[in-house]
Amino acid sequence: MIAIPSLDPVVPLAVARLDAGGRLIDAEPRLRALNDRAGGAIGEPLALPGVAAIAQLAHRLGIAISRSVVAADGEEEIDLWVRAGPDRGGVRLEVSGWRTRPAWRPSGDPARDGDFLSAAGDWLWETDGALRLTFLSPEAGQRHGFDIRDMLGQPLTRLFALAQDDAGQLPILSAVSAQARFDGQRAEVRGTGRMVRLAATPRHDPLGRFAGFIGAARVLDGEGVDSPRPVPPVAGSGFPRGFGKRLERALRGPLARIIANADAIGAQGEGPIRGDYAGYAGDIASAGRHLLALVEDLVDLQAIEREDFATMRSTIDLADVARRAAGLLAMRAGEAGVRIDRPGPDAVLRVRGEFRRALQVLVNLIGNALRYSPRGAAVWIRLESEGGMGCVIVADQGKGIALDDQARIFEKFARVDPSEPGGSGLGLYIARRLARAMGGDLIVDSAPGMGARFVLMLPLVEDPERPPPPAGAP
Amino acid sequence: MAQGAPEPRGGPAIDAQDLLARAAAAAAHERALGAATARDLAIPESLRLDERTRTAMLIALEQIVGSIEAGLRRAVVPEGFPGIGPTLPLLHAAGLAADRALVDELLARIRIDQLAAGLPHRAAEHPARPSLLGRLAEHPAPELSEAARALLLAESRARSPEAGRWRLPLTLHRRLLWWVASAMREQAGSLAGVALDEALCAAVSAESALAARCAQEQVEAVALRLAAAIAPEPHERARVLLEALRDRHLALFLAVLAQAAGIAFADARALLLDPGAERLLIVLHTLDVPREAIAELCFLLSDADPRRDLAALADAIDMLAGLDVAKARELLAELRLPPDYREARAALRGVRAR
Repeated sequence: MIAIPSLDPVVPLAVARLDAGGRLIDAEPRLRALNDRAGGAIGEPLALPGVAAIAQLAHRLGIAISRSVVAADGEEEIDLWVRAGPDRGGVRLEVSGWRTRPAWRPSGDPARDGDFLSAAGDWLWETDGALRLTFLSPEAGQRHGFDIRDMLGQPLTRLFALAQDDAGQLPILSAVSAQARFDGQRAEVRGTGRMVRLAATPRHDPLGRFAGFIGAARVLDGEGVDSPRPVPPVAGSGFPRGFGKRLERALRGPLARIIANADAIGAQGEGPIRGDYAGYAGDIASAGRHLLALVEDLVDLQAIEREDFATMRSTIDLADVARRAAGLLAMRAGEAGVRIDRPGPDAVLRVRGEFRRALQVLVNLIGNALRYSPRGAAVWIRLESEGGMGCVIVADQGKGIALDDQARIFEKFARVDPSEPGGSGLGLYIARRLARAMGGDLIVDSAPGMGARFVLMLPLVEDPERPPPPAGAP
Repeated sequence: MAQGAPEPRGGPAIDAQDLLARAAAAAAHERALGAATARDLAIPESLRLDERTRTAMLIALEQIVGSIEAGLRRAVVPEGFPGIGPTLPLLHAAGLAADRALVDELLARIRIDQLAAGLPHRAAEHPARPSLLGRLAEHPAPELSEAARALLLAESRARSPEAGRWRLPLTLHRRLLWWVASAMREQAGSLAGVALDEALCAAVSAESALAARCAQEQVEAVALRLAAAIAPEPHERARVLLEALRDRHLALFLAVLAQAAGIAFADARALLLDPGAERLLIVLHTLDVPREAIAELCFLLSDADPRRDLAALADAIDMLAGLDVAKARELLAELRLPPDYREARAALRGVRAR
């Protein structure tokens, strides 16, 4: 068990007493000076409104209470920690803290800390002020093969064998005594031989006292107790394993909130606002959507670049997938004034592939077609089968793609025309990788001024289970 | 135009029949809008949900329905039945949000979450002293230590996204399972036959049995077990209640309160969620919780919830001393009556008052 140093920082304490009517009987110099500067005096009501309110509450409730208060001192604002309790018919005040408030400080939003930590770690943990575990992500137990039930309520050091850093220090100990966040505490998950890297941010109570850590553990890949060097991430991807998923978890929620709120403001759902502000809100929402799409692309990118990436090979109806993809984009097409000519309800084209991935590819293709289509134009979706392959053709009436560019558009981060809005430059790269992973391909033929024509090919089902003939068929 | 691309079909995209249908739909929409507006305007400001709560309820409903869907869909293989998609819009149209029991439960859960999130963290008086559950987890009595660890475990699990599936009480969870299954069947339409009905019913039964097994590991059930294991003497109640609240374990607070008062967990929750807190104060007073402890509970709660008026609470606390003990016990006795009976009585009174 870690020996915990005293957590109460040494802060000057000033005591004062008030009578039952809230008038100041006496006060130690520091508090008295502050009260005098605010226009108060002995025998008169306290001139510090926040402090007086706490004193009155303590008197009314008949119990000792404590809160933090901001008091004005000339031009400055001071953070005070006030404890007030009933005393001989009046109230006794203990005021500490006395920190000048900086003009700006980051808001200590625990939800935001949580977002950062979930981005930094594979799983999360929390402790109380005595460093006993009060929360563990359930997946931690599955991952390392211990029962989290046995660890909850136990000292942090029962779960982690802490390792000293290069300077022979334990970062967590320095963090406890400084009441600060820490990062880079290496530790072994006891009994498993697996090394993790711990990061955490402290929680404080209203008096600024340490009330525990909220932290994350990041598994150090392939690193046993005896091999302290971290293994470099899988070559080629540039991301450490699992980074994409963590990035998505951390960003998806906040971005979705930004988009939803900006949309709500832009739609003036809560009341009328000036038109240009509604326009700005629309810009915020579309920028948010762009970022969200980029995050999703990066997650996909990391997944498909792994060597063990595989897709499901089940029987899917490519016509149905195409209709659904068109349906998903119907609203966007309406806004852009573009008509989507989708396969009829009776069309069937059975191929082998993964429904979700095929849908993703087609949504990408139709989305691109919409983006490059002028108002009033149409996007056609046609089905064909040829050479053992089922094909979906997505054709638009946009400005087309020059021959030189046709190979380049499938490259990572390729943008044919960087001045065009939208798109991360990853969509077609991912789409082609997905099509090939399903045993098919994605090709383009187009000429400048002639529109673009993309063909998604997937292997036909060799012995298709024949669908029931449509009603009314001979 | 692209090489080989098919020609666009000529002519307008809709015909006269479509136009008539759209005109009829527009009239219906207008009537529905009028009715919804009238209902909306009739809501008094004091009863109107704030946007944060409303959104949280919708998200919770979406998560619960989504996880039920996922569970059922795994059992009926989606490719076999095209047309099955998110069921929530259909359920909304069918009046899911008018299900009082479901809405009450969701609102209570959201409000408890908000209250818990608002409670400030409290450092122990002595830095090396573990929090209440940390101490109980090491208690020599195995029923106490096991129950304390089980509660920490249940609370850890409840925070993972998968947990949405089990968070409703069993009766509500079952009802929702049937609702979602019916909606999925509706979406499959006439293309699917009785085979889908059978597959869905079997899936609902399996999910329902799983939920019944998991019910005993839910936060509420575990908190009630721990409260029964602690079984504080009357003079210890105040300390346990206060510690549970300081450590932000609202479920334990409610379980201890429910156990001490002999009332249902959901009733204890309703007492806690009422910002006026009169009933909570009277019940605590009847349970011989000392005045100072009641005052501190009110102080902690008002820190967590800005709607609570601490000055009014202080007045109410002062009045507890002059309270007619018999009347106070009557309130508690009423709360101890079976909830279904009270519900039926209230429904009948509502009919007669109309």
